[in-house]
This record gives sequence, C-alpha cells and structure tokens, in this order.
Amino acid sequence: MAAADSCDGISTSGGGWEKTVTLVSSDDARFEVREAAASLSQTVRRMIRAGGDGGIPLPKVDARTLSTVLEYCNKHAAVPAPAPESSSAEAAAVDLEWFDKELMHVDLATLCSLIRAADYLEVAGLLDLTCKTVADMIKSKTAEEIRQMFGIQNDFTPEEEEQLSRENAGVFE
Amino acid sequence: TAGADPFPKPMRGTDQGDVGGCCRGGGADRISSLSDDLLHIILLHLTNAAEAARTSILCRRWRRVWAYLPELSFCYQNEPRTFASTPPWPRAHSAATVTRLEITIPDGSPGIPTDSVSPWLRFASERLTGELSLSLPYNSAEQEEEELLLPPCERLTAIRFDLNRTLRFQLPPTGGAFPALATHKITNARVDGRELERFLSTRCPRLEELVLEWITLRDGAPVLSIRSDSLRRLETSGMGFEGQLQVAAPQLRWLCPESLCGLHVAAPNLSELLWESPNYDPTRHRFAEAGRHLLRL
Repeated sequence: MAAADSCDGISTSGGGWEKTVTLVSSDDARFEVREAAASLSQTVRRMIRAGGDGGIPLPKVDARTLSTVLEYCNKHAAVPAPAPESSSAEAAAVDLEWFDKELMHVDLATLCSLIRAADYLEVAGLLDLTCKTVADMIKSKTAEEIRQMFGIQNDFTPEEEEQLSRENAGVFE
Repeated sequence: TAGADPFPKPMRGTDQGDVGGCCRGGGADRISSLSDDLLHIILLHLTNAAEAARTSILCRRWRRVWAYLPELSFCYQNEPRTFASTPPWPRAHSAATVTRLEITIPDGSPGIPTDSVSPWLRFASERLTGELSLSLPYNSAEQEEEELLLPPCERLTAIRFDLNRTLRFQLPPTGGAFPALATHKITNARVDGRELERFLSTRCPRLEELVLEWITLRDGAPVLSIRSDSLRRLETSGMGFEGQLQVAAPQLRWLCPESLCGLHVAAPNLSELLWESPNYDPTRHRFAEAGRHLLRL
C-alpha cells in the first residue's frame, strides 16, 4: 500500500502510536486527525489510498463545518468494540446517542452545511443523523409551521392552492 | 409510465425566471437549497409517507421533491383515521419507478373502504419495481368478502399482503403478469382456489418463496394445489379449509406445512421439513417423492 505523505503519527495515551492524516478545509485550515477517524469518510479514505503531499484538500468544506464533522468522526471511531450485549457496550451506545444528540444542537444553516459535508465526504452515519434531525423537525407540523420554521415561501397560485386542498382534503389539517 | 404531473410547468407568467423552483424566501431558506437526493433522504426518515406528502404543499420545489420520492411507506400506527380520506396520491406522485410501497393500517382502525386501496394497486402495477407491502385491518366479516383486484405487476419482486379482504388476481389470458416476483406472502385473505393455483403455476416463473397464512377459499374447493417449477421455500399455516393441500414443486428445498388439512407433497429435492404439530397421520399426510434428500426433520 502506498503510504501517503500526508500521513503522520501521534502517540496515544496508552503509549501506542497512531497514524494520522492532515485534512485541509476550503479556507485552508489544517486538521490533524487519526486515520481511523478520518476513514469514516469514504471520500477521505479513497484519497488516503491515492496518496499525496501536504494534506488532503477538501475544497467543499469550510473549517467550521469540518471541525464538527471531525468531532463526530473522532467520537465514533474512538469507540472500542466490547463484547456485544455486555453492559459496557450498552453504556457506550447510550454515550454515543447522547453525544449525537448534543452535536445536533445547532442552527439550521449549520445543519444544512453538515448535511452537504456529510454527503460530500460520505460519512454515512453523520448523513443519517443530520437528515433524521431535519425529519424530526418536520414531523407532526402543519405545512404553515414547516414554512415558517424553514423560511419557505409559498409560491402556489390561488388556483393551485385550491387544487391542492381538494386533492388533500381531510389529510393535512 | 409516470403519472401526469399535476403541475407540469409554472402556471404564472410572472415567475418564468424562477427556473430553480422557489423557496428562496429572503435567502433564509437553506433547507430547500439542498439537492433533491438529500431532501429525499430526509423525507425517507419520516417513517410515514403521509408526513412526507404533507411537504408537497409547501411550495413548488417541495412538490417536485415529494413527487419523485423513490420509496413510499405509509404507516398509520398513530393516525389511522387519515387514511379513511385518502386523497388520490398515486396521481400526484410522478416518479417513473418506485422501489417500495408499503401501506400499513393497524387493526382497530375505522373502516377503510376497499375501493380506496385499488388506486395504489394500479400504481404498483404501473410503477413499482421492488416490494409491495399492504396491511389492512379487520373490520367485519362482510368486508372480508369485498374483493381487492391485483393487476399484473411486471416488475414487482416481492408482495406481502395482510388483507382481511378477498384477494383476486387479474390474469391476462395471454399469460405473463408477474415475471419478476420472487417472494409472496399472503396472510388473512380469502382467495379463489382455482385462481390462486393458476397464478402460482403459470404467472410467476421466478417465485422462490411462498407463505400462506390464515387463508380461506371462497370457492370452498376440497383441494388446493400448489404447483411451481421455481418454488424453493413454502410455508402454510392456519389454512381455513379441511380439504387437501397438494404440493408439486421440483425445486422445493424447505417446507413448513399446515398439519390440520390433508397433505400430498411431491418434492424430490426437499432437504428440510419443519413439522410443528404432534399430528402426523400417514394416511392424510403423504410425501410421495420427498425424503431421499431430507437432511433435517
């Protein structure tokens, strides 16, 4: 396997040594990340395999968004794999769930940036988490409430509106 | 063929410049600026497609997003009443192909007119390429006699029905109808025995797995004959008739039959037989060609 020049290493608290990679955001911020964490992104993983100097450029993700993505990756890649069904596995799952929930306490603009970044970087778990977060916001709301929440302008003509309400009679109230 | 888009083009002369749709309200609408694929992922997280459908009335852009959603799952666990007044959604949905359609209405829901389900079966016939799953509640004995007609579905690969209705198959005289169907499960349904036999033996050449649970025969026939050249797994239980079940399936590997009715099995390649009852009567339960390859009993 071709070792990428962008791969360095850090020593871990356990005295071990872990390979790292450097990721470069669209606004030229550099992030040194454990390779195991960065590899949660399929896009990055392919680029690590391809090799290259001076870090892996990610021109579609800004530093602020990338740091949140990496927070997610670091947390999710750090989880050791204890025996399933064990109490520590359960505790780890609860911890992760709590972490995910906290991570999603962001404004709408940030959430949308995270969705785009997760899609571009192909971080499946984060894409799932962010999309589910938006879905939960939509759930059980009326159309007008959804429009207000997202700032969507209703651009149907009165005639179209009438047709829609005929089609959807009794369902959307 | 895709259904007609009820909003094929902008209807106002004034918004021709707005080719990308709308939803750019004050630049604040970031959600709508996501690609259709991403918005589909969001909508698929709404486990109830009725919730997803609600987004179709937000604005034009979202109408198109909903109209091209590739999977539709309507689960009315918490709001069964909404289905009673189902609008003609199949018409509003425009995607040329849909990979999954699921409609689940739990028991205890108020009466669902059988007619209101028919448009979805026609929709499945025209556009579904994967799985059709339909689960309707029991309402009354009378409703069990109401007929639900399944039209030919050329691209369907799996059907799961829990109907509490009478299931009829629309079988064109020229043959064909379900050439891709691999899995078929029918629960709680009245069927026409002869029609089911014809469906299984001549209309689904790729059928590999068949499950029949709590089936009654509307024609009261004394024999139900399952003949299939492709079938590999067969499970029958709760068969509501006391006649004989005949199985002739040269490729059958796995069988879990009902023991209350008589049984005549011709399955030379059967390797696993699951017999879940203390009743075994060699005079009523006969395995003509099975056993030579039987590995587990």
